[in-house]
Formats: sequence, structure tokens, C-alpha cells
Amino acid sequence: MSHRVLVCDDALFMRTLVGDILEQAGFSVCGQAETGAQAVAQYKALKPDVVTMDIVMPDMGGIDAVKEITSWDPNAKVVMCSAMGQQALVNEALQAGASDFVVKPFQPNRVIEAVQRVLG
Amino acid sequence: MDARRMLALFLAEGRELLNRIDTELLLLERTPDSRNAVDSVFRAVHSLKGMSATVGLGDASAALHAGESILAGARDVGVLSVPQLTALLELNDAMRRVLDAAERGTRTPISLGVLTRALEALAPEASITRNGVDRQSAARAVRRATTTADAQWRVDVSISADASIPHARATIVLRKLAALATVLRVEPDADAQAEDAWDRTLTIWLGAGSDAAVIERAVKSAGDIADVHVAREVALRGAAPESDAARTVRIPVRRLDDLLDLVGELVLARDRLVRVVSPDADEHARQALDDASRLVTQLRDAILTSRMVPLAQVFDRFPRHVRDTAQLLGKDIDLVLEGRELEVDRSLLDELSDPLLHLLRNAVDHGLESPAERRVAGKDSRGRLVVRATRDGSMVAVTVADDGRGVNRQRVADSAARQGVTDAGALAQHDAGLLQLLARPGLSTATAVTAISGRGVGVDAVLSRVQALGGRLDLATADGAGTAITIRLPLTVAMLRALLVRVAGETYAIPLTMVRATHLSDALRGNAVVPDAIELGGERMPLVSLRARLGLPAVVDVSGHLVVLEGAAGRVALLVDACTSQVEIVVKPLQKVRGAATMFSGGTILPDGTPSLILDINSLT
Repeated sequence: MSHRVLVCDDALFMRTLVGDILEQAGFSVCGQAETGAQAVAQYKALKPDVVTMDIVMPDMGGIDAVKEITSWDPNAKVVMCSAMGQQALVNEALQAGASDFVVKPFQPNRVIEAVQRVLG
Repeated sequence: MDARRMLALFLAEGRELLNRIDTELLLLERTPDSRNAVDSVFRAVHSLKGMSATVGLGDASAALHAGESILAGARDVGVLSVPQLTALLELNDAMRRVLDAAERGTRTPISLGVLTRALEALAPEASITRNGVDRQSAARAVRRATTTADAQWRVDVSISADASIPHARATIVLRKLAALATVLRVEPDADAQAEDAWDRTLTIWLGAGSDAAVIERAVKSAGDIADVHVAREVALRGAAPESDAARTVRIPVRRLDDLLDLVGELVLARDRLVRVVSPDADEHARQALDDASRLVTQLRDAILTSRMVPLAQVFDRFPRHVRDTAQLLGKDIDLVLEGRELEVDRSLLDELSDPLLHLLRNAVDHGLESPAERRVAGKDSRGRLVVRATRDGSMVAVTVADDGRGVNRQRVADSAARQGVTDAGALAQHDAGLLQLLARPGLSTATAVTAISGRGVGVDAVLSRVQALGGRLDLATADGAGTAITIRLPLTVAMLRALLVRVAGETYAIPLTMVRATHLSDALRGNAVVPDAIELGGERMPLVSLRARLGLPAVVDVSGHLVVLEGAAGRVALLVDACTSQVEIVVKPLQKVRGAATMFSGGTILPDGTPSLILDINSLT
């Protein structure tokens, strides 16, 4: 059975792109969220194996969402999706409990590697 | 690393840790709420635990883990109870025996199981950790991350050139490692990693625990790793300030000895070369020789410097020693150590240890009074014992001073007089003379004296040891106010200046520090045989013919020299054929041959390449 992924990004384009990359690699996208609050709610409802998380989102940013998620589930696996110029935020997200990160623009193999890494 | 080297490293570092634990525990006994000391003991015990497990001492590791649990609890409460402290001291003693046994390659002579259970019983339940990992304390340790003193692993990581946000990748690496062992230090720091100029390499020092393969796998699992190298950390503890610890290596003393031997030979070869190159040689040749000569001197100085270690390595054993002796004798003593940071040659450190312990034991046993006796004398009931090291030119001076009862001059004089010392009464009146009496082998072992006022026990042993090393001993004592004995030794013992003397065509060396004067032997004119004593410079002293000592017929040679030597039992004049020169010599130990005469303390190679023996002055007096 393939691993279930929750994709969080405020841009539909990005959600679709990430979703496609992961589906092609054999993962199943079990849900999508476009705000941090949604991400937290979806996580609790779906209990996915892994989350991809944009940093800049309305209604609770990605970093706060990571904090909420990892405090609810310390074993949560979250991969941050960062744009260039967000170096400091990525580090903050890692301190907050994120497991790994990828940098936009996404190279498919990098996204897949990151997700596979956090799944061990 | 092969098993032998690993064991040697384990023993060396383990003993340092044990000394530190002793020191800090004794500090805690005095000031129970020293959180720094608790932390320090905790880290030391923790390191030793990991090290013990690594070399296969599972029982020891378990006992240390139990000890660590006590300390983990104490860090939360901030205080150690007396039973806990005592149990931890016992653990330390047991570990010393474990290490000794490991060194001999024998089984640990004691059952650690009983001790482990005793320690466990004393640990607060909450702090007994399941698998030896106390997550909270690990986190605390990371925050303090400024030292590599406890480091067991050095991990060099290079992040891929094409990795995005390399410093964020570094964060993941660190988190992976923190799950395995305490992260003690990271270079460069987080700020430097965030800079564009960062070369994407970082070095992480980890505490005890885990193993190389696991660490390497963990680093690689962080992703975007170009290279990772895990090595056992080999910091030369104590020889350098902590900030330099990361840049130090631990080297067996033997190798430094070899280096010093070689450079000593090089110095002598240089001296020979300087001698054979004639003054009217080609100017370029002379210039090249001068340059080489200067470099040889610098090389020797650099090697001598590399052998310097702080006195702390010996001093830190004293608190425990004094505590135990004092407790045994029912005395209350404040020990003050000064100058433990002073650096001396490694070989000297070993030589200082025994004489100093001897003096300390004497001070505790005989010099310092019982609390009751002190109160009667109007003194603080707690005695004060100071060990003070200072640099004195090219010598190091270590003074052991107590505020005890002082040496009883009359009793020493009486005792010496009974032994046939004619001017004992006069000698005992001044400190130098008193030391001379105390250092008489017969006197120092006489129980009558040690029972009365002490200070006699083994002073002769201390004195001859110190003098053999080219040092001297001084005594200052005042009735009722205390006694101070000062050992002065050259900062390095491997090289010394010597007076060369000739007898029957052979050359012998005498450490210059023992020589007080030289006289022409025409003072002997008119004697048919060599007399037993002679008056030189207004002082009468025993006369020894070196010829006779070497088994040759003694002759009254009025064209020779008399060398006045200051030995353990005072001055003595030595009759030799001639004094030839003063040179710098490298001392080589002599293999002790059973039954052989012990009139030589070592050997050396003279600048002209011939071997020579170094006279042991104390055997002559």
C-alpha cells in the first residue's frame, strides 16, 4: 500500500505540481490544504504518512502549522516547501519540528528524495 | 585503531576523568550546592561510562550508569546527600581498580554488581533512565555546547555543492546526531553557516555513546551529504586551554621521549660539528653551519615545550589523598592548591608526584595537630595545608606548608646526637642544618623521632630523589607556627649542565647543581694517605677519593682537583684527577643491574662522542 501524503500550499498550481510529482512516484495524495489552519485540521482528520508544507500561507503560516501538527503528533513527518530567500524561515521550521525541506523551483527527484528520506 | 592503542587511550583519559571526579566530589563535600561541580562530575561519569562500554567493560559501564543516575537526580535537586557522595567516591575507587586490572589484562578483582545495586538504591527513581539516555540532560548539554573536553567522536561533514540552503541541511544533520549522543560543539557556528562564504563543511564533536557506523548512517540520512568522516576524538586534555582542545592530539609520552632523545643527540652532533669546522673554513660553510645550529636549538626548545604539562595532573590527586589521611587520623584540614596551571616537563611531573605525596603525608600526620590540640594552642581547629607552585627562573618551586606545630629542634638534635652526630645541637639551630639532620637516613627511620615530632619520615628519600634530578630542598620551620618544605627542580630534567671530571683516563659527569666549589688538590700536600676529612673554605667536610670508589688504588694527587658537592647529608669533597669542562648533557637512564654498584644515576654521550657515566652524589656521601 502506497504512502499517503497531505499537500499544503496556498497556490493550486503548486499543489497540483507537487501532487503530480508524488503520484507519479507511487505515493497517494490523500488531501490538500491551502491555509495553515486547514493543514492542521486535515492532518488530524487524515493522519497522513507525510505532509508537504508551504511556508507562506494565509490563516496561520506553515511554520506555526508545523508546530501545531508536531505537538499533536510528535512523530509527524513534515517536508517544508520553501522559495529561495526563505533560508532563515526554513531553519525556523526545522527547529519547530519539520523533518526536511525542498526548495522551489521543485526538481521532481529532489521532492521525491526528501519525502522518501523522512519516511526512512 | 588497534585494540592496544584504544586501551591505552582509554586508560589515560579514564584516569584523568577519575581524578576530575575525585576533585569535584571533594569540592561538593565542602560546598554541597555547587551546580557546576555536579554538572562536571555528571559529564565525567557519563564520558567514562561510554568509554567503558566501548572497550567492553560492560559491568563498569553499568555501575557508572547507576552513578550517573544519582548525579542526574542531583542536577535537578542541586545537591548530593552524604551517602550519595560516599557511594560515588567508592565508585571512583572501584573504577581505578577496574582500570588497573584492564591495564594488566586481568579480570576486574571486585564484584561491581553489589556496588551497582547500592548506587541504584541511592538514585532518585525518576532519573534512572531506561537505555542510558537522558534526553533532557542531553538537550541541556547541547545548549551549553562550548567544550570538546568530553568529546569522544569528531564528525567531519561536507554538504553537497548543489544542496539548497546548506545551513538548514546542517540543522538536520545536528538533529540526527543529537538523537545519538550529546552534541558538544559545532564548528562553524550557526551564524557562520548562514553566510554565503561558508564552505559547506562542518565539524561536530559528540560525547560518549553510539558507534562510528551508526553516526555515519545518521549523517547520511540527513540528505545532500557529499562526504562524512567519523573519527574517535583524541584531545590532549588538560595540556591546553579548553578553547584549544579541538586542535590538540594525544601522544604517548614515550614518543615525546624518543623525540627528545633524538634532538638531544642532534644537539651533541651539532656541537661536534661546530668543533671540527675550523675557524678559517669557507664563510658560506660557516654561515650554513650557524643557521643549522640555530635551528637545532629552536627545534630542541620546541620539543621541550611540547612536553610541558600542567601540574594540575599531579595536584588534583592531593585533595583525595589529604582527605583520606586526615579522616584516618581524625584531623580537620583545609587544603589549598596554588599554581596548578604551572607547566613543567612531563618527566618531572612523574618525579614530583611521590616526593610531594610524601611531604603531604608527613604534614598531615606529624606537622598538623589534632583539632583539640590546636584549640588549646589558640589556633583555628581546622589546620591549613598549602601546596604552592611557582616558577623560579629555570626552576619550578613547589612548597608544602602547614600551620602546624613546627619541627622540634631539640628532639631532632638529641636524636641525631644519639646517632653520633657531633655538632647536632648547633646544626639543629638553623633550618639548613636541621634539614641536614632530618635527611640522615638513620635518623629519618628512627621511630622515636617520628613519634615525637615527625618530619623525619622519608625526608632522606625525598631529598635524594630531588637531588638526583638536579634540584634542591629547603626547610623553614617555626615552633608552634608551622613548617614549609620547598622542592626546587629544573623545569626539564632530561637535559642538564654538568661538570666533567677525569679519573684514570675516564670522564665522569656531575650535575652542576650539586657542585658548590672546586679547589686545587694541593691542599692535600704533606699527607701520606688520602685523609677521611679536609678543611676547605673554613669548613670541615668528609673527603672521598673517586679513584678509591672506582676500585682503584687511592693516591694523594696534589695536581688534581677537589670538588665540593652538596649531597643529602651535607657537603663532601671529591678528589678527582682533573676538572675538564662544563657541558650540557642529555641524561639517559641506566638499566639497573642486580647487585651492581649504584654510584651512577645515569649515562650520557659527551660532545666528543664518548660515553660517560653520571655520578650519583648521594651514594658518595
